[in-house]
Amino acid sequence: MVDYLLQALPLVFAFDVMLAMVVGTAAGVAIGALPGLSTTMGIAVLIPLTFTMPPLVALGLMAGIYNGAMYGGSIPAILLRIPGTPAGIATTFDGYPMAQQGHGVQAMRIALVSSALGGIVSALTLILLAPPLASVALLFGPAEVFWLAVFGLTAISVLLAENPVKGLLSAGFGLIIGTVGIDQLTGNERFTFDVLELTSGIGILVLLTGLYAIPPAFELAAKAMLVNPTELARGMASKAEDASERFAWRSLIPTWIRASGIGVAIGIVPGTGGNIASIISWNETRRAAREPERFGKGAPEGVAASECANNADNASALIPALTLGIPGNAVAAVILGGLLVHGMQPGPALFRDTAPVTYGFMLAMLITAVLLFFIGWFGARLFIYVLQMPPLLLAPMIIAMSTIGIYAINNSMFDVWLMLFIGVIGFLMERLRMPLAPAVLAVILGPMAEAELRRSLLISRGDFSFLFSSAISLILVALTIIMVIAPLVRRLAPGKPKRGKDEHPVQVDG
Amino acid sequence: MQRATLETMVALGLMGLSVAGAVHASGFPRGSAYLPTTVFVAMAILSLVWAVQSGIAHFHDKDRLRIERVEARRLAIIAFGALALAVAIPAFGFFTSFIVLVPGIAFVLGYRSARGLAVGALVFVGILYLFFVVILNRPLPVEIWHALLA
Repeated sequence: MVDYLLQALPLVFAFDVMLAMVVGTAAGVAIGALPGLSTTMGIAVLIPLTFTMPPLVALGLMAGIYNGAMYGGSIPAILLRIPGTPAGIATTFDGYPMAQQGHGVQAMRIALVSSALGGIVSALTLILLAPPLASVALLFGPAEVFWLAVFGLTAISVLLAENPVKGLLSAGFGLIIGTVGIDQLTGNERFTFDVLELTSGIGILVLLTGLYAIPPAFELAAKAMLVNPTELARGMASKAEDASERFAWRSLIPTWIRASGIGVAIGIVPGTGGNIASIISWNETRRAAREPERFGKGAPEGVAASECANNADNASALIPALTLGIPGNAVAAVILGGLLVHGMQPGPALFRDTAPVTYGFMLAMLITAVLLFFIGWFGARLFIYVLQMPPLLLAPMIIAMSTIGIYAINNSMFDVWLMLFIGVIGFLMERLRMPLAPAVLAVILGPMAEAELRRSLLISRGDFSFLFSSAISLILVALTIIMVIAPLVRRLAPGKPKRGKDEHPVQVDG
Repeated sequence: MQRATLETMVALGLMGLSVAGAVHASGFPRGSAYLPTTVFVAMAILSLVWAVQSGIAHFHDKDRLRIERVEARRLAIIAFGALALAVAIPAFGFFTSFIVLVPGIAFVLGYRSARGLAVGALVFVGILYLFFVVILNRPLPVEIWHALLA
């Protein structure tokens, strides 16, 4: 592990990678600050632009966007009570009252320092935990890898959806998309309908951009959320004592420790996300406080708890994603797609076949968390101007940028049409409250699961019992069954409130 | 329209498509048919479950799908704008299409600042030109003005 880290260090400090991380972090903060734009959208729009770049440059950019956007979401949450990302919801509880009391700038600084610290702790956890976990996963045979893919897909489908049936249907859609084209093992065409362009399959980039860039652009145009400059100015107005008095940063240390732990732990669990981490962290900090009644009325600890936890969730969500191919949240699923674009197969093989780049990416998560502090501190005023960008102009820009990005990959207008078509499907899926991440994950894991299943059957000469012949396989099968049955049992259990129509799952699209 | 009604209709449509897909996939040679046939059969069953769920919800869930007229109008404009972009690009080139259509769509959507439209479009196209043509040197369709001048 140390050898690989030492190999990755010079790669990650190369000029182009550093530049990508700085640009990515700044772009991430801007994207997160804009209500209606999400981390997933930012990465999905930018991945096609990175197609021709070296993998680590692209991954540095993605790491920057991921860390930056999570903090960026706190800016409108504090100044306008509009969370830029779902993970910024808990920040509004105390951030907005602070801004209304004339401490907006101070609240933004607390959010920034807390976000950077949460990101650093999370990245260190990723660097420490991912390699040993991957080394265990590398011992898996084809049957175990097949069941791991099935479990990962089931977990994400069930956990991310309001209704597990919709999650599983989304995964089914992705699995079918993954089979389009020439079957690599038999050479047969599947679902090509004599269209030449479909023989090579539907590219992951076309799918990612279609699903994650087009629907937000449509929503942005439809909702046209306009920022009130007067309210923004009121939020930014700081009291004179903020500038003259030194804030007691030390008082936040216990909050940061608790929030980092909560964020990291929640990030590792597949299907959760930064918004869950921040709400739990805010609540736990309030419970532990001597004066819990201050919370919700402008307590600095509330802002620190929320922002530290949602950034602590970032890199830790990549632990199951990088080692097992099971993403912790939707952003991690999109990042897996980004890895695939650059020829890196998500899962334990990342730590064997492309180890220097994988370790470089983990270091990039750490470095961008540090960069976030400097970029956020010195660029605060600039990011506030970003809030005033007109959504009605941004929406066509996102679509235009997606079209040129997708075209430039294969010089194919067919890909552009396909992306727009998939975008419309994605928009309808979102309106029907179907999660998009299972579809993306299915495109990534589907072909891998199919190949491993066939390999298992080849080894066993067609004997299906081979799939159930090891303890690990049986555990994974049991976990998959539990994952499917648990929501059913929960619904049928007496005394448990059923989900009402107004109760939606917490969105984990970052 | 009630959300449950719409969901029932979508679920039934999806079930029909899944059955058709399963029939089509079962015609593939054996090794290639396993996964798609299984997935389509599973999707057909899941769609049926969804249809039953939303059918039951129809009686007690009065959640209605509401879309305001202005929102629907903007959605139609952005959808047609995206189509217009895809049609215009091969004929006029990316940058010519963008410089006309990006501010054009924004204007029709309701953004009326002439300065914002002009500066926004120019900066946006300038950055994309710098990135794709100057830095990456990607082969893009010939711009119409370039072809006319040549």
